[in-house]
Amino acid sequence: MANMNGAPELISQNTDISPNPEVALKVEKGGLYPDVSQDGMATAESLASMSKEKIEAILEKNPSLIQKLTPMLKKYWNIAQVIGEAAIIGGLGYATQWKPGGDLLDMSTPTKQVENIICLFAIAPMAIKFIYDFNNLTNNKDKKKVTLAKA
Amino acid sequence: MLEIAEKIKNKTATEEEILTFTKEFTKLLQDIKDTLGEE
Repeated sequence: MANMNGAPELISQNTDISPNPEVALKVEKGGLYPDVSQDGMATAESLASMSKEKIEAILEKNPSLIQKLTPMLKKYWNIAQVIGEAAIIGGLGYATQWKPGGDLLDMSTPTKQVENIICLFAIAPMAIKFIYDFNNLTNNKDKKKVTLAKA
Repeated sequence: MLEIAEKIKNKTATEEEILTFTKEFTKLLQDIKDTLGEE
């Protein structure tokens, strides 16, 4: 589902399913792979926290930067879509806030560039979190039973 | 990386593949951040 700008619609009203607090804690503490998870989450949160004004200023200063960014964003978005589908299949709570849709790689105008980059960056922390949650739900299912809290 | 993402989705990825995926995905985010930070 996409909004009028083609950006993903963030659905916040669905709180029926919550991520397992134990899993969340594990992620908070550095996940199953502490050496990479903290870096990954820090980078993702850094991107997600970039303001519209900051992104606008960067692109205004150097409009050709978008040509360098677009292939990376395309790669990121292709992966993020698969992860998003997996998160929904896996029943992870925050996936309800992650509804890919629209053409987020439409960089045809400065306005679309900024809006779409913001949308792409917004899901980065969820993508990182998902990787650890999903790993915990699959690879460790025999070691430790994990259940999702459901309404 | 997309191939591993599909495996993760299908629950067929090994722990090693997930670790590789995580590292590469983190690097991709870092590359994007660095590119923006260049200016």
